Amino acid sequence: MKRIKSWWLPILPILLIIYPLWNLVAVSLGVSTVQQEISLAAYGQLLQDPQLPTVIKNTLYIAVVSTLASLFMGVVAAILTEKTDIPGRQGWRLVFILPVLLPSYVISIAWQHWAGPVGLVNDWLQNLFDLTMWDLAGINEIVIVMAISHMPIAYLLVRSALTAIPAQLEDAARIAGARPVKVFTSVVLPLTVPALANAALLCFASALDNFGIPAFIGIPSGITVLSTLIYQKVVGLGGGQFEQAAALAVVTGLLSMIPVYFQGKIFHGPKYSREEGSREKRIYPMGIWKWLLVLFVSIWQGITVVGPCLAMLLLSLAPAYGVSLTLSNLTFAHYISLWTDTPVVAAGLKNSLLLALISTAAVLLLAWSLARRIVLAPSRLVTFLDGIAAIPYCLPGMVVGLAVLLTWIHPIPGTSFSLYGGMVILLLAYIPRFYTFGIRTWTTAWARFSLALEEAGHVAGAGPMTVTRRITLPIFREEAFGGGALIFLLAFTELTLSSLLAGSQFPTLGVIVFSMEAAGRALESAALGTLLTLLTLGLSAGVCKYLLDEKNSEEKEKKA
Amino acid sequence: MNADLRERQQALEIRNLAVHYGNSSHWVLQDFDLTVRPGEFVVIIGPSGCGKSTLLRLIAGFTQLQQGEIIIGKRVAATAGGVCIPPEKRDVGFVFQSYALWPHMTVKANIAFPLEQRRFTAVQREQRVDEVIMKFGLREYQHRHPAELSGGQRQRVALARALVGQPALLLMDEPLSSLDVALRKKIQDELLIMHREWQPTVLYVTHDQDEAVKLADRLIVLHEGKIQQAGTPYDIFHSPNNPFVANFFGEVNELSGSVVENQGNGYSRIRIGDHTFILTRIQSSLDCGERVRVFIRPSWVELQEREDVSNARITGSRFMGAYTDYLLEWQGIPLQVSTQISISKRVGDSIFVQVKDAWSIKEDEI
Repeated sequence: MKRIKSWWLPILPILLIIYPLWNLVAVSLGVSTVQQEISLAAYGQLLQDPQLPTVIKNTLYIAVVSTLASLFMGVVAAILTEKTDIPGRQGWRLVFILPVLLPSYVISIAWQHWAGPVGLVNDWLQNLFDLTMWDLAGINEIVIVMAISHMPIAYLLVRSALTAIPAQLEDAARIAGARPVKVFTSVVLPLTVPALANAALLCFASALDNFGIPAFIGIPSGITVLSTLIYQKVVGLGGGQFEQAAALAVVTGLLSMIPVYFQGKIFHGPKYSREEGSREKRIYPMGIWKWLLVLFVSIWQGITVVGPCLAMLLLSLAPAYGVSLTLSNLTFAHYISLWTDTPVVAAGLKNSLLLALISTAAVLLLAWSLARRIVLAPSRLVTFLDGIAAIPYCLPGMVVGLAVLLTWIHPIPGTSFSLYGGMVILLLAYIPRFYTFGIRTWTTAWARFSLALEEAGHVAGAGPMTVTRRITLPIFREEAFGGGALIFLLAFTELTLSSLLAGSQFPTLGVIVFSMEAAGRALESAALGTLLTLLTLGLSAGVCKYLLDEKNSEEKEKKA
Repeated sequence: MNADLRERQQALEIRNLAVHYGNSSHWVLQDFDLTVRPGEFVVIIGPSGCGKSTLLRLIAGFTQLQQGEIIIGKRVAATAGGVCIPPEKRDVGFVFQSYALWPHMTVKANIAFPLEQRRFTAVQREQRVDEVIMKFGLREYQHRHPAELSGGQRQRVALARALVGQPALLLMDEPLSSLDVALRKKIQDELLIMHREWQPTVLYVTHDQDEAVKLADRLIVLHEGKIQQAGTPYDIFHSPNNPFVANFFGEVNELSGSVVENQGNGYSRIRIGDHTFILTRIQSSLDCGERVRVFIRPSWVELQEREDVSNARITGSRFMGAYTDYLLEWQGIPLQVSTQISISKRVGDSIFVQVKDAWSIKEDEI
């Protein structure tokens, strides 16, 4: 038999994941090339920072409230699309997962133009009723946008739990004398509790992780959370602040481990065998009420997703800020000026495409061997490496970004060459960050693969390379495409890591939109945001199919 | 009046039922009539896709019927385009193929659930649940979750849950198909004991002939949406209505012949081939010269090792353990025979064949 050599497997995780994180801790403790003694000075200074209690309070408030809101919306949406007979369910499913595919900073821009202090809604209210009742600026606006943008996480998890319930469990309850409502409360809902708990933890972790929303909405209105505070400490100040930023990152990192810890403890829910071949689902007929529900969902989606995108689109077509758009003054000037007056946009598009392509390919390639071993030859080493691989995605992006920055910013010893500001340092951050998605992609594929298919190939006289190329890979095509598209999408619209790591020589699209917003170029950023939305929608076709396919829905779960 | 009285004595009555999928013209069930007496154990058997599961779902109320009516006990449960009592009000029990035990409830909670949906005091409920738990030998497991039980234990919980509310009718949809052979036999025995003690009315669906023959008071053979034959297992095995039923219950030699002489009292002399004559039981009175289909089970033939006379030649043999299968050429007709007697003759040798029993039906009824 083939001997599986795996001595080289840990090299990549050690170099790209453990080493940078170790470095981050070391810097926070004041250990550097100059000074070798451990000191807690940075942590001391951090504690004296009068801003810190407010920042932590803001962060937790946003995380808790947005998680509750996401959960509520996700559960309602999942019940509507999976357990009722409202018309157009497949379409609604796509609409409901849309926000997770749009970069959160684009949603922030759109939302501000929709319901911000000078947004479309206030404009209408003023024109129609002469009142300005809508003023959500500040922390609650962050909460709302965060809830909208993380709702699909809850939706996807609850949805897949609902669809996994064998129809017979519900039939059995009916036969036992329970009316539909009772069946729902005593059988269906209890079986989704584990998924709900998981969704809560994931939404919470994502809220701690998010940088785009507090950066786009919070920074202008002076509301700081942990991720934006780290960013400000790194970007705003000189060398001496690195220790403090590192200390803050370590604290944030530890905070973000709380949900991961609970996920390990979580009640993993009842096991039930799914009958082979029985893919039936029970849905509850709503009768005439279903049209009311359709109206409800339409209004909901109109307010949370369609309206904001529309507001952004309208603004991008307006001649100037504050000038109301008519058919005659509609202009594409801002789109044109993106190309003609702002060469950085074209460069950013090229950079982001390149980064996304390379990191997708690298992640899928590097994850192949490990994933194969996780499924086919599990050992303590590979399980451990699987856990390690999940860390960069479980940690807030800002923490990972800082760790990578601190590790590779210094010139390579003996030369004056530094990786900072180029494509390489971004790849060194993107690859570990998305590595776990590559592993999930292949492990899902391997778990469904029968090894006999490969063995039949070997028996037929094909070597390992031929078997992989002619048998295994073609069978995995669908998974590889779905997983790859997801990684590509995340990398293409990435903001958090690149806000720290992309220097002016190598800006990404996310960074460009960010700086446009900061410079007050609202019309152009709306135009770029619209373009990004359209691009994302195009790409999402494949990803949506992948996310809705319940075989893969576990994919989104962060694993400790 | 008389008809009404008879109706009331039935636990289940299905009249002229028909159902088809969607708008297609393919009928899942057609011209289906069935009555089940209280306390009867009726088994519906047929190959997969014959409509037997659909029938159970119709009776339980999960599927709407397009034609006919279903009466459970004294109540009309469903009529085409009219009444349709929802499943929870039909007073039936259902044992699913997958058991469908609620994974988040303990054994006891699973069994108590049907009673919680009815008007029982907590004390009555507790009593009844305990009684059922004892009866099914589940006392040790009552606080476990289904995932912690073996297949056989799950099966028992599913049965206990279906019976706890003393339903007018117990429907069982291939409940033993996921168990291994030894366990299946054991649970079949338990089922029979349970049935003797509690006398529930059971409608049981399976595709396993041995199981059907063992359990049924009455068997219904279903194929392509139609009842092929209904009767006791003995009748169906010995006097099949048509080649499908004959072949479905074990192996059979199927021969063509014609009536030579009607002997009355249900027997006829039949000529098979050119010059072979046998006496067979017949379905209905037949005229001389009429074409018939003759069924001879391999076990209905006796082999005799006689020195003086022989009428067949052994062309193949296979030892099967409890019996031996022989392939013979019997006056030019190939015949399969199985016997428990050990025979010294080998392939190629001559032997004497005596057909002990045979069954004939009219050729045009096929």
